[in-house]
Amino acid sequence: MRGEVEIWQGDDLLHKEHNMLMDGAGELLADMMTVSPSLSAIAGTSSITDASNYTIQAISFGTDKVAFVNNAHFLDDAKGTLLSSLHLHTTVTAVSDVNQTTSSYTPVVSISSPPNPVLTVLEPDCNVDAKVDDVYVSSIFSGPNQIVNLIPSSHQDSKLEPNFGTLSSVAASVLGSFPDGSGVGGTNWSSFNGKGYTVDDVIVSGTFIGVVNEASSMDVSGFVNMVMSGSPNDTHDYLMSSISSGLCMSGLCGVTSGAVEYSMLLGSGDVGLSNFYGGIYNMGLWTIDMNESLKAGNTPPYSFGPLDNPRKYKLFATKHLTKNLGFINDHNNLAGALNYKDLTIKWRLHFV
Amino acid sequence: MKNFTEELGINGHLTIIKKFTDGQEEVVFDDHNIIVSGMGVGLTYMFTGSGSNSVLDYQIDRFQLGVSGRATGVATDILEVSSTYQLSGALTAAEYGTGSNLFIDTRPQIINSTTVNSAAALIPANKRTKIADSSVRYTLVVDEEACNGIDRHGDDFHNSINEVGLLMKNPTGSSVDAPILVAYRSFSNIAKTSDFSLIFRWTLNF
Repeated sequence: MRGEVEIWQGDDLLHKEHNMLMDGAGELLADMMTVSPSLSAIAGTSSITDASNYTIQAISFGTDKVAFVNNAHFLDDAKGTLLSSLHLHTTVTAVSDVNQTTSSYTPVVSISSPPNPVLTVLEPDCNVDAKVDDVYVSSIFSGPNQIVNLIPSSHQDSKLEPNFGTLSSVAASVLGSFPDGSGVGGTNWSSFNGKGYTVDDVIVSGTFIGVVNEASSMDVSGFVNMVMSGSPNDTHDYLMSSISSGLCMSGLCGVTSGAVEYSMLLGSGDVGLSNFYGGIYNMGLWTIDMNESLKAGNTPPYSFGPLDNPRKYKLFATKHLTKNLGFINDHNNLAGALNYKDLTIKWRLHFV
Repeated sequence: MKNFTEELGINGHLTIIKKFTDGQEEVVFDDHNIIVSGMGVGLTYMFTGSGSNSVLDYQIDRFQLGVSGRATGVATDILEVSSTYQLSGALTAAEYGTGSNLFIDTRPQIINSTTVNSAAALIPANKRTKIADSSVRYTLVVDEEACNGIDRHGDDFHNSINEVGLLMKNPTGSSVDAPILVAYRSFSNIAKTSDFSLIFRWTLNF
């Protein structure tokens, strides 16, 4: 347990705990300490020595591996028929086994793996085993062992359509897990009782609006890009920028107190829809894995694009939660699934 | 709450070897070192993006030797704490010796929120080696011609080398390199002569 993570809902502090630094953090520092100075004099490689390549660059979210074969990741013939009958760009996320007396979905999960600093991923062996048109979706898009981001239509078109054609939205619905932004109307969803998927089985329906996809700050693999809050070297202790634009870094504490704070806004829709796919039980801070990025033929500077992100990441720190971030109860007559609130995640690293 | 370097478990190990001109080697010191607060300061500059834009400026590329680490009146472990920010009696540029292979660089060293010009010997890049996924070894060679004839107080006890430090190059991104002490260790007096060279094998585990 190292550093600290706070999760806020408005002015209410929901969670505050230490995190755990991974072995990747030590590897990053060893890499940084042994970068060859000669690279700075060679055209085309000098950008390898840019300090930003060795700092926190992304955050991602994960859940237990059992969640990836249940919940909205589950697919059978009846659900496939329903999903394939819907409009391509208004994905319906169908979940089942909802208790009829409630409209708050509790995902099927198991106990996640214990915190282990050796791990290089959030949760090992997270594979979606559903088949669409007799093709395993995991064979087309092998998950990076965390919650992925395939629902936006542009993501479907880019990564799934070449293999699944008109059924790409079905594959996207199986993979999940973050809704479209407000600019395209969000993502529609329905909760069903049982696995008949008929109109009579609908318990509650709605539309989730995603923050991360509205800002295009999350790539298809679920990495939320780090957004610099200000220009390095211009000022010290610069203020946090809008946390809806991605993972923001702040000099709030800065050099004077030897701490840095990373913060991001996880929209109500992001929390709600990801809950249908198993919820959020862990999260991680990532740096660029320079060696792997170079091996893949990509040299810095690395641009970030949600569809084509050339960066390879190294896990720096993780936070495992014992309670699902998407857990919610019905309140009076209001369905829990319709009552999600934005969450603010603050992650501080103390250096001095 | 523990700070980052403590939580991360950054630690180090220092071995000092006397190497005589006939090739014989004698280990004179073999113990852990102290990671000082300057390491955290340097990393803060890097992770907040408020220091240098070049990762090379966050590298440990120089070292200092000193003579007061265990001088009279200095308890053996008084400097071996994370709050140490300078050597007790760092050598001057002249004391490193003019005939040695050491490249001495005098720069405004960051010392407790201010800077003071201090001399340090540069560590060539080929002497900074990654020996494991998260371990880096620094090999500091103080050759036969270096650091001989130090004369501070007129007696051998005060003219002996007994402290060493590693410095990060220039974390603030200053136009003139401003190094900062990141690791320190004092050791038993070694009266340096031209009969032997000193090899410091310093391994940092991140």
